[in-house]
Amino acid sequence: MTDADPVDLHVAALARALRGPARLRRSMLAETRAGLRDAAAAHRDAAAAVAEFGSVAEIAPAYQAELTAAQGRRTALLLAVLFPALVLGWDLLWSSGVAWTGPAPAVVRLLAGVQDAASWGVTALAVVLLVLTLRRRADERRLALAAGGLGALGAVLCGGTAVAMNLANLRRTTEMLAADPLAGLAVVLSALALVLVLVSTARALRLAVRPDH
Amino acid sequence: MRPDAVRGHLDGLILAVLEAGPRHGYAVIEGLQAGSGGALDLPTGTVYPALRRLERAGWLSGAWSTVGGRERRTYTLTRAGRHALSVQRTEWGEFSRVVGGILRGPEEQAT
Repeated sequence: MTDADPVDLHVAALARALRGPARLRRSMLAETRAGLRDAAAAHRDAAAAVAEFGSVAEIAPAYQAELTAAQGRRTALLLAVLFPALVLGWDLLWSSGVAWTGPAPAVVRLLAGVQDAASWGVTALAVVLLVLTLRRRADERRLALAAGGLGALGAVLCGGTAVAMNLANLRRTTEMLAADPLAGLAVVLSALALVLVLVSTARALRLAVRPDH
Repeated sequence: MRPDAVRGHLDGLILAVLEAGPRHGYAVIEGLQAGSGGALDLPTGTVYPALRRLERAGWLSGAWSTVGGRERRTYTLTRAGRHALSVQRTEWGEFSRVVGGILRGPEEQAT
């Protein structure tokens, strides 16, 4: 990049003003650079193309809105896929014989009920949010806030109940983990899934509460 | 024409430009300027995020391709986009008929 090129300078300034999913951000900036080069070629004047494009302060909010919408959609999609996958995955494992031996204590059954209800609740709401992100005039910051809040709540509820259930039934959990390596793998994968949810959730919340757009 | 007046109709105008066939971003801008006889004075930077918004709504499909030896993102009107365009045309026709009728005033209407 040459410092004197108005197109590169303008695109770099726009890039500094934008936050959000890296691939979409890169794609939007590459498209803008190609468009500005076309305009510069048509006018035979790069400065005129940049002036016609509009200032970063004027243009960046519309770009940021799309990036925020994309993050909201991405988070909602992750919730809509991961939460049912966790429930169904554990059900499958349970029904294939990887389970605690003997009846579970009442508190564990209660926590399991809470976890299932929370998982399906999060899934249903995430699907609703996903549909809302298809709307052209949806408020992207509210959607990102809702997806982020839902993900955080879901991760805390499901992660919390999982930890509590296993602590309440610690002896049998230890026996199960010792007896079957598949159970250990499932615990690690579930923890990873919740970490993924928390990362996506944090990104969505950060864009939703950004003060500068 | 003031940018504020155009902004609310930008989506419909973009759909109309793409009705003739797929175009990349700057070609859409040229289409808007040519279609308005140069009267459309909108910062061209507003068009690129608008294209992404319409793509998100499923009214356009966008894909990178090589045009004239350079990488460009080309947009095509989808079936849903065609339907949205026809709805916008109908609504605009109705709006301009009603508002135009009032703005013309009683003297003009009498003639």
